[in-house]
Amino acid sequence: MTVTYCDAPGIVASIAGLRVPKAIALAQTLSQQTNEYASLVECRVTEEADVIIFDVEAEVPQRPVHSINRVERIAGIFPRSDDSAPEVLALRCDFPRVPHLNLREKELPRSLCLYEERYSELKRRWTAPRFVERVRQWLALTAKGRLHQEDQPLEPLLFGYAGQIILPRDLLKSSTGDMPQRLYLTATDPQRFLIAHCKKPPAPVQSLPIVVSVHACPPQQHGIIHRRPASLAELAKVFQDLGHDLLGELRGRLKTWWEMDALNDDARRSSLVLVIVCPKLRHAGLEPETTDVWAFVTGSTLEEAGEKTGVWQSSDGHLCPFFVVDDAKRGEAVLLDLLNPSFQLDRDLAIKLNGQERADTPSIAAIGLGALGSQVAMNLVRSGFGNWVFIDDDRLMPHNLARHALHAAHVGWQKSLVMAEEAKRLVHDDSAFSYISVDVMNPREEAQRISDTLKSSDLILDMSASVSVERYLSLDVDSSSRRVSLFLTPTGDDLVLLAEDKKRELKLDELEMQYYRAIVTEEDISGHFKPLQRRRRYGQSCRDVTSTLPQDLVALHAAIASRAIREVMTSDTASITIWRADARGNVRRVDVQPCSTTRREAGDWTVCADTQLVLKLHQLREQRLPNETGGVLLGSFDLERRVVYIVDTIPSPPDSVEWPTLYIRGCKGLKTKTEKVSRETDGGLEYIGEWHSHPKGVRTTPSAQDQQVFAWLNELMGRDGLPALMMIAGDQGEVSCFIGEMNWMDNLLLIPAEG
Amino acid sequence: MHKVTFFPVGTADCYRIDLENGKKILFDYANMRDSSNQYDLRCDLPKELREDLATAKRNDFDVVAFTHLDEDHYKGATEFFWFDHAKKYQGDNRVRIKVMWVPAAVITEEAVDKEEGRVIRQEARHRFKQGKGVRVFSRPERLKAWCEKNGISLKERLNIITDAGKIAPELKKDSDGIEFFVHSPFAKRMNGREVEDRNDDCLVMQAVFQVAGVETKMLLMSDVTHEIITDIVDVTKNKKDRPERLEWDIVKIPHHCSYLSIGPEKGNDKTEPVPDVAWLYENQGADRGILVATSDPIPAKGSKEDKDSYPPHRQAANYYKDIETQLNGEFMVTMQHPKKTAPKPLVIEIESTGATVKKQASTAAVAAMSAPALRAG
Repeated sequence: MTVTYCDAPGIVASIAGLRVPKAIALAQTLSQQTNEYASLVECRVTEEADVIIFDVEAEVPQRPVHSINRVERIAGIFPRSDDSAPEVLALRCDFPRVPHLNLREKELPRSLCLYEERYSELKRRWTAPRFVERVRQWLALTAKGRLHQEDQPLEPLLFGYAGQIILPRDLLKSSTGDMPQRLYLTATDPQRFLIAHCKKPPAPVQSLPIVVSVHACPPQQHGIIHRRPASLAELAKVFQDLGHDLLGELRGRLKTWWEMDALNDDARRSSLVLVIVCPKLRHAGLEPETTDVWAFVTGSTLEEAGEKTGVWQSSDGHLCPFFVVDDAKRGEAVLLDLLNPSFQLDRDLAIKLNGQERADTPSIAAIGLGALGSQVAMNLVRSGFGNWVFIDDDRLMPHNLARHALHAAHVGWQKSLVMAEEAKRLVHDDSAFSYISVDVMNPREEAQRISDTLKSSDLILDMSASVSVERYLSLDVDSSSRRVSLFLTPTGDDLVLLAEDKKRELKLDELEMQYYRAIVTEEDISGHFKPLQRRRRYGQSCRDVTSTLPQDLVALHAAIASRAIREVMTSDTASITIWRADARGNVRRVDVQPCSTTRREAGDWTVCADTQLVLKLHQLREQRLPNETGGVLLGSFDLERRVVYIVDTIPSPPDSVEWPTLYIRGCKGLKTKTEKVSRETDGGLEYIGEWHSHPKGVRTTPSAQDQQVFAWLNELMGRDGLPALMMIAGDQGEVSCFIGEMNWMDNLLLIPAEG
Repeated sequence: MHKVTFFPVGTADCYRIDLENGKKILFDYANMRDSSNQYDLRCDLPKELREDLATAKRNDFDVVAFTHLDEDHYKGATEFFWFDHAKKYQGDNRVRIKVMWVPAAVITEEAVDKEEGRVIRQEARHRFKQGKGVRVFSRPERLKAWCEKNGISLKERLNIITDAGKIAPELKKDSDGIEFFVHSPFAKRMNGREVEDRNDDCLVMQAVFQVAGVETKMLLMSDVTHEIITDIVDVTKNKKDRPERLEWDIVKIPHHCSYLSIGPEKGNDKTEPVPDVAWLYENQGADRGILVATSDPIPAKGSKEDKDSYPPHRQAANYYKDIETQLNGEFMVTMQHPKKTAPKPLVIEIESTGATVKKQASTAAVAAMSAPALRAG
């Protein structure tokens, strides 16, 4: 079996005649025979490069997928400049068409695409023996058809482009060839990077009008283009070999467009761009698995392209089509430049690139687009998650840019509007994003839209960092949608997530209270509300203040929060979670187990308490029986809605009087303790009233003494404009609660069974 | 993936078949290395085998075949293996044999000149008497006299006897990805001989590997001569019409590249094959077929070794090299792989793309290091 080899470039030289260090190293390695499977054939030199020709023996199987020979002759071409990877040519004349070849102007000898990394990365580790091994490995894997593993996606078979072009996402679908597809090219680098826009970019942006003609070839098991066609005629020849008349198709289109009067002056003067679509099969008989797309920029306008393909001639600015196409002109003069096309990002790709398995698109009403809100939302948008309505009435101010997902170009615009526009631009999905630029609590003329949005959303995501907005969303909005609240503590160290259960048995305001209790009781999050940072004034008005908060903490917590939101959506239960970032960059997660709550009307007030509090009161009572005991109650008044939240107690001070039929609450240490709770919760919890226990077998109806204490309490609290609050704990979990007024009946809280 | 490893043990046989399911089969054992000679290039066979077993966390072989009782096929076996028949050959360090494969001659032959050969014979006989842990390849009747003499019921031993033309039942194509078809020993033999010619009773098999439905065939030719090959071809091709049983992708060249396995005349530069040998190599070899000679390097013309009557023979190698060219295949010599000065075990991997000879460059770390390190960002 004789093997014929293609000529390698250059004239034969000795090793001493070489000039490129890498070439010299390779020649020496080969001549020393350190690798028993590689041997030097000869060295050559050209003007620009040194060429090393060598034989390598690779691990080729008996039944190769691609017909690689046991021994192949290779030429490594080392440019003097050493600014690009050495080109590696397989010199055998009948070296097969295989994956991972570079596209050259001549098909043979074939150029192996040895490395997928950039040469600059490669250089650090490049040695001649490794280079030889890489060639052997490439040949062995190619022979076994494993350079691409079976489970890897097919990639374009060939590489090597003049530049990049970004095409509209739906170009292949929308461009049928019936009408000229007009686009506008802008360039970030005129030679190398082009972006095609559907609309002409407004001045002063310069753009080049183009007409794109999309042509599809029949599905192929291998790529169709094995060398870079220099002209339309050459490209048409490639198609012709596959039994597809590209030239005829293009000529027909040009003529049709003329007949349809679709070729005004602008269109005629637009440059012609050809997009070639080549569906690719992994194995014959299977469905196409991927599609290669090739984009060729022609150096011709549409008018010129018609002339150069014999469709028409142009005289005095008029097109005069030939009755019969002039077949002598087959596009030899329509020169082609090959570009590597990419398509704009869309949601499906965003999902894939984020490693998500499927589209997850709950509808989300996002309220509050500040530093945290904008970054959380953008993280999720970029991962293809959710259909969003952005709600915020703020406009982007320069100082926002220090910590906001939006950019300098957006200053002055409504945050909600720009967020929606940016999201649309990112994943090219106009229907998934909208905005309402109002204060959610005061929507005015947008009241109906806000109401509809909040009703129809799967998730109401409060990122306003405002307790009043959270309470409003929790209690005043008519919607069965689940609410989630996300906020940072003022230092930015801690992130808090309050998530209602899907049935809304635990509401945001109730979770907020349990969160406060956790701040006081959980050691892992002690110091949660550190003293507020100094505020910075950014404008003239008294309200123009903003806090200092490092962007790195916002970004860190935004990343955690966006993952947490995905997690919340997969679960039906309520959660209270706090993440704390420490100075060393560790983040600790603290989960607080929410407990069930109860609401009870008392006078014109609503009392809200939870099982954990009631349990605590009973434990304290049990410990002191047969004596009475008691203490102060901590919680929060919502005077606007006349709701009182009873959250915690400070047990009986040591100077209290505890008798079997009497309890007089002492005060030793009480003030300090109460103030501490209030400080630790940033005012979230405060003193709200008193409780005491009744002895065994005694009901929780108030005694005469209780009435007296209550009257005293009413007078005391009245000084702050607050009502008196008293709880009485009795047998078997019975707790009565009185607020503002007290009668001779008990008023039992109904405590639901836990779980 | 299955794997065949030929060990560079000089002009002697030892190769191991590692199946994808973990089973290990050893064909012959010949520790020829002279451990007192630091320049002996032959491998330290027990060390190689033990290292492999340790990696596989086991201390036994599923099958060990002794293809015939010549020293270059068993040397050192009595120091390496655990033998059931005598305490002397037992100890924690010894490697056990689940099933021993032997041709009938190993049981019946009386005149074994070397002590080690006798020990192996004793072990085979012991297992045969026990009725387990051994398979004897033979026409059953041939064992009749021996059974009678030793008071054993042949009938009760039929399940551990396999005749030529059958598949050795220890391994199955479906579950193990391999089957062994028995070519020899077979019925044709000279009558009335006093001493059995050992090579005439060599174990010759065709191993058929199967990976993802793709078969790779390997002929295990032991030390057979051209006369026996002619007989095998005659039976298989002409009488039984089963030429596919002599197809091969890999062939273990018989008798360490001896000219006598090709034809009667050595020839000056190339041994001329007898017609059936020519048919076996030229017609039955697959494209890119692999021929493995288990021998010392092929002697250069006119060298001292070239004049030696013992194999390997340069003239025989030249014949196989012709086959190599004709098939676009590969002729390999165990003591020359990858180079004469530093032979290493010859590893052939068997996958759905057929057999691939592993060719790890001595700059081995290179292969691992030259893969790109990925960085996300």
